[in-house]
Amino acid sequence: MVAFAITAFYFVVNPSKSHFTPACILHKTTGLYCFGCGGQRAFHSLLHGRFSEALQNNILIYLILPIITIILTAEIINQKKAIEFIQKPVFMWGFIFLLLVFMILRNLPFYPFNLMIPNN
Amino acid sequence: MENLQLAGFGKRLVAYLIDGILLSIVLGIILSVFFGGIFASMAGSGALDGTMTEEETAATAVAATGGLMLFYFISVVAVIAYEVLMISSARQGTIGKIAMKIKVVKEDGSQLSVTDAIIRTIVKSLISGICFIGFLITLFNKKEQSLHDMAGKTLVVSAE
Repeated sequence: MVAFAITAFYFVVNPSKSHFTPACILHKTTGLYCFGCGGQRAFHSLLHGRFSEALQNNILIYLILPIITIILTAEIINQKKAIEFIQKPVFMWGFIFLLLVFMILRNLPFYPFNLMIPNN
Repeated sequence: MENLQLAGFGKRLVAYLIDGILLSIVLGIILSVFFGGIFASMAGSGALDGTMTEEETAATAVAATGGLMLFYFISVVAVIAYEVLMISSARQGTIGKIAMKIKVVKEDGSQLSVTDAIIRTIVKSLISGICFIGFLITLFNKKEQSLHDMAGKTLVVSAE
C-alpha cells in the first residue's frame, strides 16, 4: 500500500518543479552530480512512459527499481529465502563500486559522459 | 541472533517515512512560530519598508542569515536528539518504528546504550543520508544492516 502511495506521489509530482521532494545536498553544495541525482526525476519519467528520459536522468533506476521490487515482493509474500542470493558481500561491494564509477563518469564534462547529466 | 526476526526493508522504509513526515510537521510548526516571530519583528522594525539606513539593512540581513543557520542547526540537533532518546529508551524505537512494530537492538539482542544510540544516529544523519548510500546497502547483506547499523553494531528486528 505504501509502495503504491509512493508511486502515485511520484506520478503526480514532478520532482524538478516541486519543493516537496528532497533535493541532493551534495549537488547543492558542490555542484557535482552524485549517483542518486536525477533518481526521483527518472522515476517520474518512467511512470509517464518516457523511458529514454528516465535513462538520461538516472540510468541506475533500471537496476535499483527491479531489486527493490523483488525484495519488497519477497517480504510481502513472506518468501525471504528467495532473496538470499542478493544478500552477499560481493553484491554489496559490486554495487558500491558501480555507484562510484557511475558518479565519476557522469561528472566528466565531455561527450558521451555528459549525456548522463540529469535534465532540469 | 538466532531467535531474532529481522524487520525487512519494507517495514523499515515505512517507519522512516512516518518519522520523516512527523518530524517535518512538528519541527516545521515549532520553528516557524519561533523564527517567524523573529523575522516578523525584523520586518516591523523597518527593514522592508525602506525607512532603514543601508547599514541597518545590512545588519538585519546578517541577523536573518544567522537566524536561518540557527534554524537548520536546531533542526539537525532536534532530529538527532529525538532518534537517540527514542532508540535508547525501553521502547527501542522511534514512533515510526513503534508503529511498524519493529525495534533497534544490539547484535546480541540487548538494548542499546545511549552511546550506541549516539554513534548510530550520527552516522545515520551525517553519512548514510548522503544520496541514501548507507540505506541502500541494507538490500545487500544477510543481516539487513545499513551503514549506521554496521557502525553501531545494531540490527533492526521485529518487536512482535
